[in-house]
Amino acid sequence: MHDKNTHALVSFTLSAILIITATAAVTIGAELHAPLKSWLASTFSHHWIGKSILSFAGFLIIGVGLSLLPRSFGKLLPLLYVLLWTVLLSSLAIIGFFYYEAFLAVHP
Amino acid sequence: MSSIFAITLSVHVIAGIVGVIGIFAIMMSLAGRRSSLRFLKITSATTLISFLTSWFTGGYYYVLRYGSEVKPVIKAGDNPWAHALFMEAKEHIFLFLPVLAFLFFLLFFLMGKEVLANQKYKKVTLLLAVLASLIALFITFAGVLISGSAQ
Repeated sequence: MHDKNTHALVSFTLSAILIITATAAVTIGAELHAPLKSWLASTFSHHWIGKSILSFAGFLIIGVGLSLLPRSFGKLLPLLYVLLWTVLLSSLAIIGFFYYEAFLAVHP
Repeated sequence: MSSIFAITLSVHVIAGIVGVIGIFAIMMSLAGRRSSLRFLKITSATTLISFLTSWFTGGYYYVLRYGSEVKPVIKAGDNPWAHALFMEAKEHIFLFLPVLAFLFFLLFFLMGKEVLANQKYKKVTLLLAVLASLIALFITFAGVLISGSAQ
């Protein structure tokens, strides 16, 4: 199944892996590092709008960009499994972080 | 609540539920012995449109009303964790769903026949649908909890 359709799917799957990881990292990072959250708010008018735009637009731009390159970066089947684990671990990281913030962290 | 917020919140919920049903339908179709590619194409397209609609309308309500009028009520009430945990998790994990929905759309439209014919591809696509369904369920549950805590 080595054709342009597979190449496109490899590209967008890789993009999804990168963006979902980045979204989780920026989400937690913005809570721990106030200047990052402030930058998102001042650049995009609201920190969540910034994360929204960066995640979906980033996903599309990276996916299209990789699709236009002549070579693929990996095989689709293992990448889909990497995506599966990325989504699972990123979701658990976000839930775990906010659980910690809500119930365990001591806020001054 | 003004009518524009009532409308956007209602569209957000309805579109979100349609998206959840769509993800579930994809999961159940892939889990069955015979999956209809036509059904998967239509459902994945509907799911993608629904999640994008829920995203924009929810974002409008969240940015313009939730932060200033709803969040303070929840945080001052009996269940401040409804915002601190469930809203915070919901608003960020939700960002994964349009990405996953787009990927399902591409999978079924670009190589749907191969996905259904190859058990390895079908299995991993099913696993992704199961995970997306669980995420969608969590987000729905969180939304109900948040709404209840704001009463």
